[in-house]
This record gives sequence, structure tokens and C-alpha cells, in this order.
Amino acid sequence: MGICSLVLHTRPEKIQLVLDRIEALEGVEVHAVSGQGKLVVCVDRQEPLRYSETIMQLHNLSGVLSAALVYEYNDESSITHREVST
Amino acid sequence: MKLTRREFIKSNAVVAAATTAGITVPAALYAQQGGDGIRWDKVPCRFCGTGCSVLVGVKDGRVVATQGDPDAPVNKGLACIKGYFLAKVMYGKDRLTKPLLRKKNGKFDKNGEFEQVSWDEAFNIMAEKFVAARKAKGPKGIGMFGSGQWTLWEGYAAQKLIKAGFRSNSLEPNARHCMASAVGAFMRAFGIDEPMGCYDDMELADGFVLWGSNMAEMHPILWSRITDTRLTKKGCEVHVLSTFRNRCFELADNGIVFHPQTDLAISNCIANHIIQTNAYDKDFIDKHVHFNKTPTDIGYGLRDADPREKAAKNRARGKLSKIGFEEYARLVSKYTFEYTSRLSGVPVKKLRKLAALYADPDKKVMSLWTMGFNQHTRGVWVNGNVYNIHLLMGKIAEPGNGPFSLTGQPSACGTAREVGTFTHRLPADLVTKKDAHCKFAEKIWKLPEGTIPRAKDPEMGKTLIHAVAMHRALKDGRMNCFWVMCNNNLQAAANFNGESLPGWRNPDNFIVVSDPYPTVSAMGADLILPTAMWAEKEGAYGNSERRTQFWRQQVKAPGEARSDLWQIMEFSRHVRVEDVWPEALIAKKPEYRGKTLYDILYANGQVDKFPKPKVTDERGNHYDNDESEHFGFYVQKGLFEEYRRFQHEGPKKGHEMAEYDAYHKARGLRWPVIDGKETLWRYRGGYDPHVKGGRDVVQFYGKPDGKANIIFAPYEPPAESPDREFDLWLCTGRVLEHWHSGSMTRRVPELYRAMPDAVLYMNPKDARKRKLRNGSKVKVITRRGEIVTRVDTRGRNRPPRGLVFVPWFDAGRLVNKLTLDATDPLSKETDYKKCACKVVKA
Repeated sequence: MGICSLVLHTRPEKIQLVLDRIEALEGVEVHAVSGQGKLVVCVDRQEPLRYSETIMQLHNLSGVLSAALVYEYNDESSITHREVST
Repeated sequence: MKLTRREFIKSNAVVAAATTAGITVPAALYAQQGGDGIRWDKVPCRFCGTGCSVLVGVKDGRVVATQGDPDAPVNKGLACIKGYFLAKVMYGKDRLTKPLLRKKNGKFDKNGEFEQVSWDEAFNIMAEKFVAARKAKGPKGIGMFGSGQWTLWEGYAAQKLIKAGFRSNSLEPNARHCMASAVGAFMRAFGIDEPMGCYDDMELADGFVLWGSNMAEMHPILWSRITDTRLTKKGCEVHVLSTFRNRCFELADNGIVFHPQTDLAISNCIANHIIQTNAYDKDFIDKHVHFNKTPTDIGYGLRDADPREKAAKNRARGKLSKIGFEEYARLVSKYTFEYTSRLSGVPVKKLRKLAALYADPDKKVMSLWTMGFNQHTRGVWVNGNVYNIHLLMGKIAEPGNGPFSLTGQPSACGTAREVGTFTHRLPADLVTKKDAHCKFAEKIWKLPEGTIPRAKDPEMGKTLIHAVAMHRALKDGRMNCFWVMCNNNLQAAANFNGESLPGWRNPDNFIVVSDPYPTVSAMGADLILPTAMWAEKEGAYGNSERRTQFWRQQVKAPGEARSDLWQIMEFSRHVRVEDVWPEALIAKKPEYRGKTLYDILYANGQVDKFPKPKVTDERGNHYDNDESEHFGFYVQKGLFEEYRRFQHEGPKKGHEMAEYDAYHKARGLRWPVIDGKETLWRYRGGYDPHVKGGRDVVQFYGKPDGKANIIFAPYEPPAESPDREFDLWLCTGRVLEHWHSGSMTRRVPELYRAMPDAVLYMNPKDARKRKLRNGSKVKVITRRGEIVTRVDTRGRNRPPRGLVFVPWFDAGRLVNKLTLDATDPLSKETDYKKCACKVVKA
């Protein structure tokens, strides 16, 4: 399992365009958008290969000016599906 | 609410990102608090010169996770894709774990196969070869090629071993290929190396100008800071200059593609505009600036026999002559917008827009550059031309205003430049051409006077030899032993077929490579030493903004791999002082008779004065320190504290660092550090403790009279330009996914898959003309060699017609078979950006 969050920059006038392009990517969720062109996205992919590919796709997405990773979790174990809090 | 671990992790991830982005979120939950048995600690990143801090998570003796350090002022919790996969660089399947020596019938043989040997056997043969070469060929008979990726103490220990121990100035870092032009220009203009400003300027400037730097790919975290400023600050402008369109152009308000080498003309054009419009700061230049010009027609740093060298009137000359403002104004007046536009291919409108930004007294400007400026046969000149612009406008050494030379390696500043692991340098900006500086170093190092070779030594003659000259000396058999450490110089150096490979495989030569992996260099060596890397040792780096950062050893290295520091110090035990010093020198210090270099250099009562540490952090976690364990004292601290004496007692002020323990607590400190306080802007009162007075007081104290130099340097053509046969410019460089020669990043499966091979970026019209299309297999040919690769006409880099770009990370496609080993005759740095090639269908 791989989960990571990224901060993307885009020109404010291109936010919608970039959002549409992100929607076409599997396993990517947009969690926050600021009016100044910042997006907080989360990548959640099971397969390690697809996971890193997705991160690179975000980097190379037309309209994305910069992409930086913030938080990552990468682990093959199944523990992640267990309950940890109530 | 029930939360699965997956959801828990995801919410952590989102919260952390939102916090970093400054978007409102609930209280942040950071990874350290995960409670999953992972020990977290800060470590600066292993790659570029940005100096991001990452949190490294260790479990069961292995790094299992990394993340951007939220408390780090440099990256504020962010990481780029390379930093993200950082931990994996240590876990490539082919890590070297044993010394390997080429052998036949149980003995060393240059044509033998690699066989495992003990460290003792490795060091014995090394000592035998190095001592013999030093005796037979003098100080240039041996050489060491180190790194801007060395920790501070590794560079410092190497400096002592080669300059004091072996009494040779044949020590160079790979930073010669990277930052030497920047250093040359800093010294000429300001008398002290490294930028006056810092990264804080990235939020404070109103305009950013990139001169030959693809920050979007090579310094992504700094680029995200600039992007943020551009998008959030009213009136902010970004200007990008390059010889081809790259990712930075997407943010650019003024994207400028210029013909190679004409950056010299464009920079002069701006200076001319500033003067013609009377925009310059007269008060500032009267008080703080001298005007000069540099000798012209200085050649291209090629071999003596090259016709281009024979034709040069002032070969390698750099002595400045004083001129006045009027003369300077007359010299730049040739560079009108129209003339410059014709020469550079840049429309007048774009040049005007760029010049207007610099000339506007109300706009704070940060200029940034990397290899486009430094790897340039007129690198020192062109660096200086940008200082000229900033000095004319007085836009320097204050918040938001400043020229900023970015570095490509994590400690190009800290180790190569500050410790001074160049042939001509000593720690803290001292130089071997000054007798007083050598005497000072000898005093600190407890050596008899005359131990360190002077640049022009009364006993040994001319002792300096730079990186490119080392490969030539190996080929010619003038240098017979070469120790390459912490870099991949056989892949990195220009003109592989003509100079590097013949030099390394010359039967007279013994080549040692220390590396974690079997790189191109390791395969070209005679002895390979397995190296402990990055978090496998305690370390310190110095980044682009003068920030010194320390880390603790996080994990153990595999097998018998040992750090560069251990290797340098342990090897010194195998050389006796009588092997390398003449009797007359030993007689000046008879107590050194019979000692090893280890005894003299490291067990000298200073380096070994701190007891073996018990390393713990403020949270009570324990860490190893394998070097200190082995040698029996706190090795890193002893070396650092001795080095610090150069800063605090030496003849040049302005390099002061804090004491050792302070750095393990801080997220780095920017020197000069006085009374525990770091310096953000140098040369200005109120910011720099060395300048007395208020913020209106500026003093460039690296120069004796406190004034900086504006230096006129004209446009001159490059060493090799396209012609009828070789009809394209070839430019080489880097990509986002890989760092330098790819020896680490190509071993990270994710990064390898993202960019497996080096392609040839080409303009679609150039491709069509040659009946090629996207993906076609081609041969790239120069006068020096050829490689086979594939064409990319639609990728992230979009060259104009007449220019192609090939990255150099790919060991399977060695682009340095193609490049020319022309250098800046002043900085001796190679120009990897300009030579002539042709491209044909393969």
C-alpha cells in the first residue's frame, strides 16, 4: 500500500483544468483547493509501481507548475486495514 | 468514529499537506507521533544543494520511511520526488560490501579480474603505489578527486592527508565541474566566497530571474517557494532564460530562449540599459564599487597544442585593470537592444522587459543560476556580469535583493568551498599561493614550516593541478595514482574517449574508487573500496545559503562498507612520515620521526581530544557512531573543532561557525554565526555582525577597502560551434528523476521506471528534416565519439531548432563520450553545455 500527500501549484485560472485532469487519474483525491492556485491532493494506490507512476504523472501534468510531496506511507503489510481508533 | 489504519494514515497525510500549504486544517498529526516503533530523526537530504531536511524513520536497523521535515526552514515539510525515495538509495541490490582488487594469479594485475581482498591488503597495495608515485613523480605524481557530497570532516581529513601528509596539492573536488566559476566570480567581485543573501529572499523579492537554471526540475522545492511567491504576491514577475524551453517556462512571465553563449551579451545589454536610462544608483556605486575590466581572448582551457589555445592572445589571464565609470559605460554601450537581439536571437521586446525589471528602483530582484552559468568557457565572466547589474542598481545584500548562485551538490559549499578541497585552497578561503596562509595552516596543524606545498613552491615548483588537468596527466603518465571518492568522475568528466578512459586504463596508473555501488568509475578502477553512505555515518553538509546542517548516524552500513572518513584516516596509518617527507623537513620536527601520517594528522592532541561519545537525542534515543567506536575518540567533533580554528583565528573573517554540539540541536545555521546568532544578509549593518552601523551601511569586507568590483567582460564565442558537418548544438544536463550520474537514483526502482534512459530532446522540425520522428533510434556523433539513443520531440524539454539536449545520468549512454573538455581558463570548469554534434538515423 502507498499513500502520500502532495501540494501542487497551478495558475489560479487553470485550477479547473488541472482538477479535471487529476480526476482522470486513478487513485488521486483532491482534498483542498486555495484560490491562489494551491491544491492538496492525496495519492492512494495499492500497487507500488502504479503508485510512483501516479506521483510522476502529477508532476508532469500540463498546468502543474510545481509539485512537492509532504507525507508518505509505504508498506506492504495488511495491518493497514485493521481498526486503530474508535 | 471508527477509523481503519488506512484512513488514519490518509488523514495524517492530508493534514500534513494542508498545513504545509497554509490551508486551514485541524491540529496537525505528524509521523513522529505514530507510535509504530519507528525512531524519527532529522537528516539533510543526500542530493542537491538546496539542503532540505528530511525526517528519517528507522525500524529494526533499517530506514523504513522518510518525509519532509515540517520544522525545517528550507523546505517547510516539503520533499521532491528524489527526496521522497531517498531512503531507497542505500538499499540497491548491488551494494558493494568488500574491497575488490584486480588480480591475476593471486597478485595485483591491471588486467586482472576483481577479487575480494581484506581492507589491510587493499590499504597495503594503495600505500605502496601512492608512496612510489609520490617519490618518482613528485607532488603531481599522485592525486585525489573528492566531492561536494563529502561531509565537512571527510573533506577536511582529505585536505590534511593530501596537502600536509603527502605534501601535494593534487586534491580536487567534483565541485570543480560544478561551482568553480561561481567561486572565481565571488572572489573577484567580493573577495569572499558564497552568496550574500539567503532563501528568505524567495519570499521577499518582487522579481526572479533564472539565468541558466532549470529549477523546476533541479531545485524543485526552492521552485515551489518561488511559485508560491509568484502566485500570491501582487506584481511579482518571473523571467526565465535558457537555451531551450524547459519546465520553468510554464511559470515565466518572460520566457527567453537565447543562442548559446550570448548570455554574456544579454547581461551587458541590461547594464547598458541601466546606464543609458540613468537608472543606476550613483550614491551606491560611489561608495561601494570599483570599476575594472578583464583581459580578453583568453582561450578555452584546452591542451597547449590545440590551435584555439595557440591563437589566444591572453591565454588564461585574469588580472583586472582599473577603469572608471565612463570607460565601463563606453564598453557596455556596444550592447544595444538591437545588437544584442541579433546576436542572441531574443526579440527586443523580451530584452526590454527583462532590463526594465532590473532597472526599476522599486522592484526587488533575485537572480538565480546554476550550471548554465558555471559550466561555461566564460563562466567567471558571466557570473560577474550579473553582479555588475546588481551592483549598478545597489540591489544587493539586503532582504529581497540579491544575486544567488545555486549549488548542485549537498555540500559543494560546505565541503568543497568552505573546507577548500581544491588544489589552490585551504580551509576558510585561504589559498596555497599565499605563504602567510600556508604558515597559518601549518601552525594550526602542528606541522613544520614548509610542509604544505606553496602554489609556486621553492622546492617543488608549480604544484597546482585542476580536475581536467588531472585526467590529462593520467593519460600522459605524469600522474600515476588517483583516488576517486564519493563521485563518479569517469562518467562525469568530459571527453571520455579522448582523455578520461585512456588516463584511467593507462598501464602505468593505479586507480582507486571508493563507492557504495559498482559505478562506471568503479568498473574503470583497479581497486574498489566499499563505502558507507549518507545516514550510515554521522555527517555535516553546507547548502547554497551558507547553512551548515548536521546529522547523526541512523543505521549501519552493510558488510565491510566503511565511510570515506574511516577510509581516509585508516589508510593514513599505512604511510610512514619517512615515506613521504624529506629528511630536512622531519629534522625540523624530530618528534615526528618514525610516526605514521595518522599519528601526525589525526592523533595530534587536537583532533583526538574529545572522548568517544554516547550519542543521544533530546528524546532519549541512542545512535551509533562507527568511526568514533573504531578510532576511540569523537572523530567528527575533533576534526570540526580543529577546522573551526581556521574560521575564528585565521586571517580572513566572515566564515565563523558555531560549536559542534549546537548543530545537532538546530535545523542548520547560516554562517557567519557570531554569539550563536546566524547571518541572513551579509555585508550590511543590522544584519551582518561584521558590519558596524545601521542598515544603510554596506561594507564588502572581503576586499581590503570594503568595495566590490564591477568587472567588464564582453561576449566571446564558445570553443566549438556548429558548422556544416556537425550542425547542431549539443547541451547536456540533468532531469528531475535522477541526480547527477544516476548511481543512486537509478537504483531506486520507482525513479528508474519513471525515467529509465537518457533520450535526445529535439525540435520536431529538426527531426523531420532528418526523417526522424518521436521515438526514432538515432546516433549522436561529435568529433570525439558517438552514442545511440532515441529522439523525444514532445517531452518536457523543447529545444529550438539547431539545438539538442541529452541528460548525462545514463551509464548505458555515456554522453561524455561526446562532450569537449574545454574549460573556463580562469575557473578551470568544463563547459558541458556547448559543443557541436550531428544526429543521424541508427
